Amino acid sequence: MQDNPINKLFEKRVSWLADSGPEDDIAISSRIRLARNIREIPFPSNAGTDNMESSTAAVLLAVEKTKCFRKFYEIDMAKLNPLDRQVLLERRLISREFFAKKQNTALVMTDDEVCSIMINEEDHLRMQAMLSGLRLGEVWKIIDRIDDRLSSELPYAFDDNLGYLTSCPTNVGTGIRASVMLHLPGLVLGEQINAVIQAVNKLGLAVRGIFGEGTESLGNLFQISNQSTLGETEIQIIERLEAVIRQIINHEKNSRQKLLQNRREFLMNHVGRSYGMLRHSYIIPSEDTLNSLSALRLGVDMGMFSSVDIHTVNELFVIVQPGHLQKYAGKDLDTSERDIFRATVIRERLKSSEKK
Amino acid sequence: MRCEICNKNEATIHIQEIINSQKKALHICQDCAAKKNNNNGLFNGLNLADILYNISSNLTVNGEKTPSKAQETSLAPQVPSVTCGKCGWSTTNFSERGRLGCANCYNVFRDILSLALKNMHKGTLHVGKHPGVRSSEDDEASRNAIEVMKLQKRLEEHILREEYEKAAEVRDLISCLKDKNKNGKSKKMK
Repeated sequence: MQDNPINKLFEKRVSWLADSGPEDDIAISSRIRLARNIREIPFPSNAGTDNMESSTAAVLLAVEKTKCFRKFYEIDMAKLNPLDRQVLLERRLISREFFAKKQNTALVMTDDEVCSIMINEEDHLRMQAMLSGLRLGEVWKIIDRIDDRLSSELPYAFDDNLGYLTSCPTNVGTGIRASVMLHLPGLVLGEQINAVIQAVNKLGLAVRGIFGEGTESLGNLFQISNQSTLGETEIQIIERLEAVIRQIINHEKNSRQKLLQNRREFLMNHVGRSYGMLRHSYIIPSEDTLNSLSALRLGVDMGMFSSVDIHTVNELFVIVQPGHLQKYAGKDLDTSERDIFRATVIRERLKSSEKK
Repeated sequence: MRCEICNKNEATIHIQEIINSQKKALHICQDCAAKKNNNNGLFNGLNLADILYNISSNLTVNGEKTPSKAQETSLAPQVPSVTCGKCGWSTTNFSERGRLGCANCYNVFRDILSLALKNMHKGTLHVGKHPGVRSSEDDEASRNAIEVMKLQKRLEEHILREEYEKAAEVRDLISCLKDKNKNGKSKKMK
């Protein structure tokens, strides 16, 4: 592998952020992940190097033989430096757990970043497909097809009663985790977000903040996903999730409308000041950035800016993160250096967006 | 009533939920509820299924092992200690990590699992898709192919280290396995 595939990735825009999709003002992206294991090989949590090598070889071989991807990269995670691994994490191509694991793990990803397979994460295969907007049905078709092809080569661990067997019993059955990333500034500003989260939890779906661990939801970005994987078909799981997502989108729209009607100055002030901060800062920490980007995105969605393009804002959410910043700078940056460089990148992006 | 998580304080929070027409109750103290809440944030809230599963499998709460006696007294006697004959995974491994060791573990730990699965999922029977049909010959061939791929990696390493004798051995092994697969395929053709 002469060319570093991460560098190639870097030359392109993040497809699930730069492309348009249905409802993409509120639903940023849709993703489906399937967990699969190979019969006869112990799960990664209980597998020695030899077994891990076997599962890696088996998956890579199956990917080649079935030609399930047209243009793709094979990446040996142990050979990747931490910064490149971080870039993959920030682009949501790998999980946090996979990022930390690295030994005996490999990644297969398509060059358009729509599909990826983590090999030897918690399960032998964690394959995902991701598209912009609310498109769970389309995403399912993509990943279902890849799964079918791979299953013609790979002997999956499968039980007639329990379905696909996974390392953690919370994934057994369909092994599916469908999720949608939502931008919900209206519900947060309108102080309705907690009620919505509680309601969603009651329906057996999980809500997580995208940025920051724990309770904080920087940037007002939330990920809603199914929790139950057994006892329903994949389509039922996806449809149930999508129905809830559509309701949340409606609540968000109403909330934004209410803000515009009842608290117009408050809203304009919130958006305007955030834009000013992003456009004119010379030092900006990541927390401020994410929250201001959220306000700017809200303003753009509501037609307050004709000059700023929504996809520029979307992309900024990814490239202001530490890994991307350092990759852009071409060197390691400490926290305070990053805050300066981040401000520079944002000013430039917003400036060039205005010129267009 | 004592808290079911720490088993120290008086339980002041009582949660009841009806899942699949089965009533489930949990009695915990203020402290444990707060911990649980901090841990999952407001995002997961107090997910009863989650908590019940944590208790039944002695998982971690708030990053630490639950010092709970509830499971020892109420559940441990019902769950005899077993070890998977195929991968060596034990009941202790399972309860500490909440993960299974291999596909066969699903049979070995059936009793503990049946309780946990009911709490975690909408149903207990898989109704989703099935993998394609494979023959045992396919399996044999793919096992050999996997071995070949691993050996090829080893071969490259030996050559890099200039260990030519070892490299030759590995090369012979590879060609032997490749022949096997070829023969298997031609048999199938006839």
